[in-house]
Amino acid sequence: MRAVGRGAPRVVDYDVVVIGSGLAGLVAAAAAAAAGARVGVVAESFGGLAMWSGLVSGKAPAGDEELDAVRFFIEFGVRCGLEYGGCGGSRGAEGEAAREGMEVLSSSGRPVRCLLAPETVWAGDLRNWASSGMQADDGGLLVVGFTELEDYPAAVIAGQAAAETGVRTAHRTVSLGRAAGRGLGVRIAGLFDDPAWFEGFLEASRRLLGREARRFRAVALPPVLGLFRFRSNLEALRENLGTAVFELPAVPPSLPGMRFWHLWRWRLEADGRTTFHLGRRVVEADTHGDRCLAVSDGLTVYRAAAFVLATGGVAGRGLEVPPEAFFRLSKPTGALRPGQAPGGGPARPGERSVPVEPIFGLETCGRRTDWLSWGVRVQDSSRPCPTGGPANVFVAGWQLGGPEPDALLSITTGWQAGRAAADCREEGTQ
Amino acid sequence: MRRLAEGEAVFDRADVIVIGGGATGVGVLWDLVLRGFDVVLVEQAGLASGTSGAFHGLLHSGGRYAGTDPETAAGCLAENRILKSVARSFIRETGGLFVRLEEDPEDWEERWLEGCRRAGLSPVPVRRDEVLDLEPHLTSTVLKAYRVPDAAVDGFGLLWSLVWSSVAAGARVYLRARVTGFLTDEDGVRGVEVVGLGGTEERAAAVTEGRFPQAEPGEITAEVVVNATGPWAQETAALACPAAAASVPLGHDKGVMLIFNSRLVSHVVNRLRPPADGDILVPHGPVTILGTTSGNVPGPGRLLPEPEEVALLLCEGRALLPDIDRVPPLRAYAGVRPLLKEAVDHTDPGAGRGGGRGFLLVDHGETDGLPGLVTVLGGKFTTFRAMAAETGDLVCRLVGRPARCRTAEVGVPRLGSPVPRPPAAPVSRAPLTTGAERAAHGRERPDLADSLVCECEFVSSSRLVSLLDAGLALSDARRLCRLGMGGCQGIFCTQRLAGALFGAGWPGDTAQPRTDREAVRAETDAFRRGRLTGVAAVQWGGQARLSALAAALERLTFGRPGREGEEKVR
Ligand SMILES: Cc1cc2nc3c(=O)[nH]c(=O)nc-3n(C[C@H](O)[C@H](O)[C@H](O)COP(=O)(O)OP(=O)(O)OC[C@H]3O[C@@H](n4cnc5c(N)ncnc54)[C@H](O)[C@@H]3O)c2cc1C
Ligand SMILES: Cc1cc2nc3c(=O)[nH]c(=O)nc-3n(C[C@H](O)[C@H](O)[C@H](O)COP(=O)(O)OP(=O)(O)OC[C@H]3O[C@@H](n4cnc5c(N)ncnc54)[C@H](O)[C@@H]3O)c2cc1C
Repeated sequence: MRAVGRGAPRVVDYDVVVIGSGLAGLVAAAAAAAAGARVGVVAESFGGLAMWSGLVSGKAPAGDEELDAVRFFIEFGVRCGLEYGGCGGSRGAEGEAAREGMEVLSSSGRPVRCLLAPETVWAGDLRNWASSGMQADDGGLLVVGFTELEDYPAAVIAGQAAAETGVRTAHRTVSLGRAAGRGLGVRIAGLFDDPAWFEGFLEASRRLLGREARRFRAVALPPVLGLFRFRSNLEALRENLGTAVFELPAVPPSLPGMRFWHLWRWRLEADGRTTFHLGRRVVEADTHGDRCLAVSDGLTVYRAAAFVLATGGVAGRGLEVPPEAFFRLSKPTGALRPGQAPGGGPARPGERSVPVEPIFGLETCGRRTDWLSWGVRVQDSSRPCPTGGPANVFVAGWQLGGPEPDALLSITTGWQAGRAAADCREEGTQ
Repeated sequence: MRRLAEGEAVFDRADVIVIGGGATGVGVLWDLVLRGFDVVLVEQAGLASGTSGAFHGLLHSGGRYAGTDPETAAGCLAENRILKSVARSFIRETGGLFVRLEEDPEDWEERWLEGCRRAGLSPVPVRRDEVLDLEPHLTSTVLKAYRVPDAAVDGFGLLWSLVWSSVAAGARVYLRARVTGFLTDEDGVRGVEVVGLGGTEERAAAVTEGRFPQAEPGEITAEVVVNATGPWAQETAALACPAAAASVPLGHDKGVMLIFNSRLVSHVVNRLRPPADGDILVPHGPVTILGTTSGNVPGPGRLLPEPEEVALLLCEGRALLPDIDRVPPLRAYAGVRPLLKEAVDHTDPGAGRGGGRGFLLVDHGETDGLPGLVTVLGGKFTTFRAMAAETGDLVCRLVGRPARCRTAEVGVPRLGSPVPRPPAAPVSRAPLTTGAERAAHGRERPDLADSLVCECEFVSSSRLVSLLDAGLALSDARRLCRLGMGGCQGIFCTQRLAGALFGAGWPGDTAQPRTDREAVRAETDAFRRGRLTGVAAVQWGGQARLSALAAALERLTFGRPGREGEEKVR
């Protein structure tokens, strides 16, 4: 394999190399490490996590495999210090909580359904509210916005929420003071991570909202209450305002996804089995027969017994769609049929595929939905090896495309791919 | 056609009614207003929502027609000069280049130069090396190039300015009001029946989408009715009688254009070959428009650009700009050329472009015994003023009130800057009024904490709110300030738009929302739908990425959109 730059390329060895550190990549790395593998993660960036609201949507998990994956995800989250749960935060030892799902408000004020949500959102589960019987004098919901955070229109959220859910709402917009500037969520979260600043904020919030907030059943705040100290901050706010407090998912750049990335990465590193190579873009693969031996970013060669391809979909630049591919797919005649989600499923006779500049030269298929979704086609959705590709490469997450890629797909396929990759190592050593 | 009852109460009366709010209709409105007539304009949807909102924005020098039709070329050149002097602020003098590539026929160049000479156009030869200095992205296979006075025109701004000026002079403009029939008396056509006077917002939105819910019609009377409905001209004439429709020899030719999110050229660039697909590039501010295809269609309808047409354009575009695949496509759109039928030979797919650029004025009094009805059709945007001038002359003759055409002398006021002066209240419920215009004129709401709603096009919430406060429908306000027309095509601003609509910009927390929730929902949904139709045919490269992102975001913030989207959008 060729290396850019002078001298011999650096070579590193792992049991499993995961390409991509989005949701699918992190879950795959955790699953492989949990199975005892030494894991290298090679990734360019956060991927979709920088955009992720933190909510896990998708169809309710079906079958033991998917439930196992969800259970693993929930348990690993507990160890990371960022808990996930469904139905008002019930973790349900069996992962069944996800079957119930949750309904939370989004930043457009419309309720959206999801299977699992991070702990900061739990108090906002609308279904919980409904089941406990909202009373007219129950106070309803106070939506609080920050003047400095423009993409969180408290008035819209409150107004739409009232119209859509029947819950009584009110809204307030408070200023965070000069320190916040006109901030992005990330920057504001930095303030919330500063204990001294937060003390001041608590003071002010008691003054501005204190008496009023108590009358409401819950207070919804923007999802920026700290990258790390969110748990204690929420606790303190709850005590201070004398009512339930939760974060309401908002548009990107999105803090909950970044929180997730940092906490999972730290946990993985602390567990001692996983090494991160960040800011690296894999550009080449070295394959022999039906096996991939190594991948390279042009500077370093990463060797492993198995590889997980979790480079995301079109949105995350994991796939580039050239015009010809689009035009071929959009022809009314000979249009490609949707693959079975997840993973496109086995190729059906008569189907055509379109190359979409895949890293490994893999067969890719596209499907029409509201937009076109593209993904690598795999042989078997429970052991997602690419059709016609190397047998020790496993595909996970949005790279698989599918009709409506969502976080559940990344969790279940990441888990499957990570475990399958770890198994390859055993096959190799036996 | 209905007989007007004696002493019947009518909604409005004027000297002249103009049907159609495209370039032609607005041109006629302005022309007649300057001649001192009392005029009413009725448009079924938004201003410039027909062909005049879906063209290249090229102010022809005549070069494009010189090889086929020197007469039309001469007409364009004359209008090019006049508009550059009276409507300066809506025209960018980019200049135009005609470039001959290696594969283009040599004998055409001779014929073209001869046509230019006959049209009075003097193309200036440009050296080969100079061409690539001027336009570095152009293919290096350019053999020859000539410079002509082509320019880019902001059609939307120009038409709004003309409408506003006419309203200021006393004309009434009813948008989202549709003519459904004609009124007659013993002297001939005396007015129109209109659906949509006194309508509601929801109804207006439905009309914009091409649905026409039943509503009580209102009547408007006048001495002359001018049918300037472009590709709808035959349909409109048919409302009077079949004979009138037969006197309107109209053909429909669909053209698709593609916008790229980059200024790829600084001149208008044409290929020096017989006019064909994908051989015009027009720079507009930060974007470039590549056009166009040509194909006969049965009628105006709501035509979507098909991926096949876009593929064809892109393929041809590569000949001029070899790197075009790497430029992010922004959206594709389609327009329908109203062409004179004689020139449209349905057996020849290229015929749409060959001729028929001329225009026709039909006096239905002469052709069909329907005095008082006039149809003006054909032409192009560049020649709208000339078409209006002839129409104006005919109207003067018909009413026996001679007045001189002044559109070649009177300057078109620029839209107030930095905030365009919005014509007030173009919702159909009431005609535009100057009083409301004053209220809206250029006033940024100082009480609002100003924030950007649209970062791509730099639209502030105060500007948007002041346009809406003036009574503009969202779709008009949006197009006027270009909200959502930039790089992200509305992905990130939709929600902020909801914020601005709903009252995020209102001071304090106690203020009542400015719009009711249903309306916010309807308007933001329409905004998102509109975006999807524009980008559906350009789902590759950067736009594919954006769409995947938009789909994910929408599911998160707006819940799962109805599956109805699947049918509508490719
Ligand atoms: C706008 C938006 C909204 C969302 N909303 C929802 C929602 O409502 N519900 C829900 O369930 N989920 C939502 N998600 C989250 C989404 O489900 C996850 O982001 C998704 O599961 C993608 O995970 P992934 O790991 O497959 O891909 P990504 O998160 O895109 O990760 C891809 C990774 O691969 C890296 N990479 C790509 N190419 C290379 C290369 N050549 N070499 C090395 N590294 C490479 C990238 O840098 C990145 O680290 C949303 C995401 C986005 C972007
Ligand atoms: C692809 C393409 C590119 C072009 N490029 C250029 C160019 O670069 N330069 C140039 O000069 N010309 C160009 N043209 C030509 C030019 O755009 C048209 O000739 C011109 O816009 C026609 O204007 P119009 O007012 O006649 O028609 P329209 O703009 O279509 O106006 C007709 C109006 O009538 C309304 N209407 C219809 N029926 C009714 C009713 N019953 N009641 C009320 N209202 C009604 C419609 O809603 C519509 O708004 C192009 C055309 C096409 C298709």
